[in-house]
Parts: sequence; structure tokens; C-alpha cells
Amino acid sequence: MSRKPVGNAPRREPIRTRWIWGVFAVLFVLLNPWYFPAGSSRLVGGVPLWAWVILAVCLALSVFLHFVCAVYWQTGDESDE
Amino acid sequence: MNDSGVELAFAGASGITVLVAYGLLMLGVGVITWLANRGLHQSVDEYYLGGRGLGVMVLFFTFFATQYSGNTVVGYPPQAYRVGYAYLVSIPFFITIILAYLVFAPRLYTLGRRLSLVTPVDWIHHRFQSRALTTVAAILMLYALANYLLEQFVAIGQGVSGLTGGTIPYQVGVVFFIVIMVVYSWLGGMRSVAYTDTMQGIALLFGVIMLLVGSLMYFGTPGDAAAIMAANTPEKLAPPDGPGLLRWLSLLLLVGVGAAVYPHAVQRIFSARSEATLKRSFIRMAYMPFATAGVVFVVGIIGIAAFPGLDTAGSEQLVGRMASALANQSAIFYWAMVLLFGGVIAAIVSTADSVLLTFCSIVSHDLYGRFVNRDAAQSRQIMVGKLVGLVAVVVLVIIAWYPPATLYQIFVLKFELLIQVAPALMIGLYWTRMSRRATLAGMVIGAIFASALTLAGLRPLGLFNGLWGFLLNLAICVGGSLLLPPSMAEQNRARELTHV
Repeated sequence: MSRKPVGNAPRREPIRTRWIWGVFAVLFVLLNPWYFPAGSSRLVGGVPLWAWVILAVCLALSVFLHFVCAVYWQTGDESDE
Repeated sequence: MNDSGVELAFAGASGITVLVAYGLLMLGVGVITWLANRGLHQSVDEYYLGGRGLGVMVLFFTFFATQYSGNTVVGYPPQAYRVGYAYLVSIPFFITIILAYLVFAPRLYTLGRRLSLVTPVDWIHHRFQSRALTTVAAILMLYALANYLLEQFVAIGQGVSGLTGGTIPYQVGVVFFIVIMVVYSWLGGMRSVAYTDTMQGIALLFGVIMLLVGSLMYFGTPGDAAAIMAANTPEKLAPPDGPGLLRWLSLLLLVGVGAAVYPHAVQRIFSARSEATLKRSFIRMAYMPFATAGVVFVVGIIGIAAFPGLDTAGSEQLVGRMASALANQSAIFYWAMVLLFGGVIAAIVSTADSVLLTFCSIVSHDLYGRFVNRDAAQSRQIMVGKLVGLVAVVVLVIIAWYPPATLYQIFVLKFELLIQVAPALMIGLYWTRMSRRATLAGMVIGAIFASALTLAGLRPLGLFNGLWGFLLNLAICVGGSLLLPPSMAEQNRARELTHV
């Protein structure tokens, strides 16, 4: 059942690339709203500023997940696409 | 819903029409799938994994419909209404599920192809070759899946009777949709489940977005809600403090890891047509939290402006109130809201059907085919899974019919148990030194500890009990493997098995 990778594309697994997990760790830490002063409720466009920051980190995480899936996940089963 | 004072504008005939139409459409999908794939009852791969041939679109929607249930639409806005912006955590916790997938899905997919894996328990059996560990993992998953199914059945009944303003009683709604679900699952297996998931996912997305558009048009903006919060409940605008932060963190961890190891979600990894298909589905899933959890969060916040001052019970009806008010505005919103509620029911059914299929596959493939009757033909395994699944459904319907109040706690255990299987499933993929005895001890002790805390009604430090059990499990599993590692021969076998 095992399939050969297409061409000579290198096999890549996200878990084997350390710097990726460094970035994930930083994003995960930023995903928790611990770094805002207590009770801060400054509004920007009717939404608290801290919520905008968390949303921006969420978006960064989604984009980075997209990038890692697209570039760092090649274990070789591409033959029927 | 009427007794709480909410008059649903679309109660009655149109609600019934839409529900019956949804039911017949799902049944139609089952019949067509069955006609187009007559041989699918002969092969476990065909029946439980759709022949390992699901394409990007269907795979994405089946992941989507499995992960987002009707509860996301009906249950999350009231939470946002009550908690305020601290409930924003519902967006990142859906993203961390994809992050957790990246830890194990790439390798598990490859091994799934190589070893012809059908269920997550199947992998644990190949990796550890321990009858006890396989059985415990299967039982934990089956127990959690049964509770999950029970929750969906109750939600179907409540949703149907709510949508139709009580015209269709709770019990009739439960039986109608469960019969349809069982019939189409039996007819087409994973294929009909995935195709109906696609239909249900589209209905739900459309409804949710129309709810947001309507809320913005008729109830005001998040800015209006912020003005009310600033005047009355400023804490709803503030970032979470100490205990709130701990709750935020534990939700990210528990939901991220817990939902990624949902057996029915893992099974979808094996169903992908190719690695590229799986990758593309995950990429789409990484953005979906904004379109679903994000949208319903905003709806809940706008609810603060639309219906200020509701108590807990009142706020539980928030989506019904908003949808009813919108449906009175124009014909477009009337039908959009009818579709939304049909979509909510469909989303619950689509979660339930995936859970039921995985339940049957673990019974037939991992327990019956492996331990009871090794020589059973695949068609016989499938039949046994269907029959045991049917018995489970009947028992669960009886419980859903008359929920026994005193036993309630034992029906709550889901995440607490499922997450205990995560070390065997995930770490076992990479760490060849992991020993079967330590893994088994960790799994059993973690499950007992988490259950005991839950049944005793405790929650130390405000962290979720499943996480406490998981930490203990992990410590036993890792510590035990370091102290008493498996033989070199066993480690070499694990190395060869997990090599990609």
C-alpha cells in the first residue's frame, strides 16, 4: 500500500521542523490575553482593543497553519491527485 | 418554547415542511449512494471510509459538520451574551484543533494507508499489540461516543419541538430524525454520511451568515452593545482576569487536543483520497472558526443590544428570540431563519451520524473482528456493527426519552475520557520507547481520576477535569516508559512500524 513520493520531492513532516514549533509556541502564548492591563476596555470601532489583538493573533495562526500545511507537509502520497 | 414567552414566527406548517423536506433529502442521498455503490456492504474500507476516496470538498464539509454541531449556533451566542468578550476564546479553540492535527495527522494518514487502518483503535492495536490496551481504548471511545450521541438525540428533540413551537412533540422529532439517520447510514455508510454532511454544512453556513446580516441590519452593531456593556456590565468588555485566563488556557488545550482525537474526526483522516486532499481540507478548516464561531460570537454580542437584561434561562432562548424577530421583518429573513433552524437540526443530525458510524466501526472492526470472530467476513463484521449500533441507538433513545435525573453525571463524561487516549494515539506515533504497560496504566488511571473528579463535582484550580486526568496520564505514561522501557526488539519493531 505504501506509495512513492512524486518525483524527487523531499519528504517533510511538520513535526520534524523545530522552528515551526517555535513559531507555534509564540503564537499560542500570544493567543492567551494575559498581556493586557486588568480592566482595560478601550474601544476601537465599538470592539475592545484587546479583542482586536487576539483576533489578529488568531488570523496569524490560521495563515501560518496554511503555510505549514502547504509547504512543510510532504510525506509522499501524492500519486492520485 | 412558548411557555418561556417566545413566539416563534415560523412555528407550525413552514417549520414542519422544512424539517420533513430535510429528512426526505437525507434519505434520498442514502438511497442514491446505495444504488451507485452496491458493493459497499462487502468491504470495511468501502462502508466505513467511503473507499478511502473522499475528495477535498466532501472531506472538508464532513470535517466541518462533524466539528461544528447545532450547539455551536444555538448554545454559543447565549454564552457570549452572558460572559461578553471573554467568550472570544471560542474562535481560537477551534483553530487549535487544526494545530493539534498537524502534530499527528500527517504521519497517521501515511500509516493509515500503509497498514489499512480503519479506526483510531486499529492504530493503537498495531502500535502496542496489547489486547488489554486495545480493549480499554475501545471502551473509553465507545462510552464517550455513546454519551455524545445521547446529547445529540436530546438536542434533536429539543430543536425540533422548539422550531415548530411544540407542534411536533419532542419524542416525535427524536424518532423521526433518528430513523432517517439510521436508514441513510445503513444504506450508504461513510459516503452517505459525508454527502449529507456537505448538504447540512452548506445549510448551516448560509443560515448563520443570514442571522448575522439580519442582526446587523435590525438589532444594531457591536458598538451599540459595547455602549450598553460599558454602562451596565463593564466587566464584559475587559480581558479575562486570573481565573478567567486559566479557563481560557485550559479551553484551548482541552478542546484543541480533545476534539482532534475525536474518534470520528480521526477516522476522516483515513477517508481522505490523498495527502493533498487532506492538506487542502485542513487549510480550509483553519479559517472556518472566523465564519462560524466568530459569526455566532458577534450575534451573541449584538444580542446584548437587542435584548438587554435577560437572565440565564432567558438568554438560553437568545437565538430563538432573535430569529423570530428577524423572521417578522421580511419574507427573505423569514425563509432564511426557517432554513437556519432546519440547518441547526441538520447539523445535529450530521454530528450524530458521524458518531454512530464510528461507534459501529469500533464495535465491528476492533472488537468483533479482532477478538470475537477473527475469521468473520467483512460483510459480517459490518452487519454486526450495524446491529450493535441499532441496539445502542434504541437504548440511548429510551434514555433520551426519559432522562434519569440522578444518573445525569455519568452521561456527561466525554472529553474527560477521550483525551486519555491521546498519548497512545499521538506520542505512540513518534516515541518508540513508549511502553504498552505504562501507556495502559496512564490511560486507565487518567480516565478514573478525571471521572472521579467530575462525578464528585470538583474542579481543582478551575482547570477542566479531563486536563487533570490527561496530565496524570502523561506523567505515568512517560515516567513508566523511561523507568521500564520495552525490549530492544520491541523498540525496533515500533521504529519500523512508524517509519515514513
